[in-house]
Amino acid sequence: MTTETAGPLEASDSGPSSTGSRTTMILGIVTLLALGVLVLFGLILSPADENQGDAVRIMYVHVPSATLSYVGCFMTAIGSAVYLWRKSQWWDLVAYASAEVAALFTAFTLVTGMLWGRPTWGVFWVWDARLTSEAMLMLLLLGYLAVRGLAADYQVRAKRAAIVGLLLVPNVFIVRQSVQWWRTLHQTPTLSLAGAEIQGLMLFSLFTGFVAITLVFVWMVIHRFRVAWLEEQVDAEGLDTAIAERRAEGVAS
Amino acid sequence: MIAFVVAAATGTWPYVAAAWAVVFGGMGVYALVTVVRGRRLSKRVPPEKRRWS
Amino acid sequence: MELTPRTGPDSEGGQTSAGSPRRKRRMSLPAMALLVAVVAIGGFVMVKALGSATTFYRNADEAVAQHNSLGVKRFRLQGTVVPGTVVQTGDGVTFEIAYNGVPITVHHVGDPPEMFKENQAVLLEGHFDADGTDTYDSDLMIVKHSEVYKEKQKERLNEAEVNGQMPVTTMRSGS
Repeated sequence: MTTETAGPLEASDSGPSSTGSRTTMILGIVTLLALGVLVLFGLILSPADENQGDAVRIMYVHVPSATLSYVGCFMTAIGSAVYLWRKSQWWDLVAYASAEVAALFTAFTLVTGMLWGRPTWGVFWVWDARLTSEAMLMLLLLGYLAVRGLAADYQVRAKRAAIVGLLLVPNVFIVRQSVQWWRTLHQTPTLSLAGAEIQGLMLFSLFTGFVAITLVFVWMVIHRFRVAWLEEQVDAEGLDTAIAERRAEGVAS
Repeated sequence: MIAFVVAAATGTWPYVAAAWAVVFGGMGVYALVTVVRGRRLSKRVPPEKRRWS
Repeated sequence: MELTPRTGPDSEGGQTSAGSPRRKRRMSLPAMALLVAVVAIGGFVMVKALGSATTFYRNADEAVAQHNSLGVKRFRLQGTVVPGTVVQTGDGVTFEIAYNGVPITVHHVGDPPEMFKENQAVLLEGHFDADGTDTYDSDLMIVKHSEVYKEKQKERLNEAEVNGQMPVTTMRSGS
């Protein structure tokens, strides 16, 4: 019975009692170190900007947050596509975990963007194409998470969510291209294939931002995936313990 | 030191501090919530289903 | 059927019918409310986007060319602050902006943003003056900064600080 096998968790061979593992522990330590380096370079060692002064330091968290939110959206779309194709729960949960983390980073992008806009542009918000499309992305991600929360069988929820998840890619593309396609208050990308409009310690600080925030993103998606996985196990357990037992033998790895 | 504190409280620094606080605070809270959820759920799931590789 | 990953939809088809414990765990009302809110706000944002995002602003030369059709209608204007034209007034600031060599005189009411300075691209909200000249009355000024970043030079730090915080020092006292 489940109660027996799940029994005391203290024993070392009873599996981890959390979503942590050796890999995520090491990843977590490296992530914390990277965040320390980001603080050191982003807030202390890097110089102020000629025009913007210290407000430029917001870029070191704003731009990586935005980039990783796009990555999360792409992962959600890929997970959604594979789910629709193969009905693989693993990929569905990858999509779910990525979407939630992407929503978090999109929120960071919006908030840091507003806090950057006020001292530089003079306003927190304008409805230009970049800011408007970014707001739409946030709403689409919230919509995705809301669809997942609606009462329905797992497969129905997963399928609905996957369809919303696929819409994230065109939305990200619009956000990305908005500053090229339309007239916007938001500036065009500083880093592009044509080169970087930023040098020295400022460029390095932005680089440390990308590294640190990427590590945070990976750590978060892994843990969030495991939480989602455990949730499904708890659900499945209540459904039919006998079936759960039988299946577990075939799946445990 | 005093000069630094005064300088930090004026101009654009409050915005910089707020932006970084939102990101670092948000990441910390989300990480904490996720870990706590994982620990709670782990107690309800048989160990053979939560061996992370 | 949803017990484990990597299994197809073929197995245990009857298990997910009514009475599944999943239904109890999912809180459908808050999710439904969130969904409704998202759709409503999404609609609002779409309308906003279609209305203003695509022609977000007119450059100074376009605004002058379209002066007759624009009349005193409100629109956003973009241009670069012409050096030596900035004059502080009682309730704001007067200056010229130009784009493609076409200048417009701007009467702005209110404090300009901190980054406002000569040769800076600015975005203004307002309308052409009713007297028919190419004069623009603005009540909202936004600094349009570029994607280029450059280290503030240490030796010029003090001077830059003064200029940055007090754009007035570079203004002429009269015109």
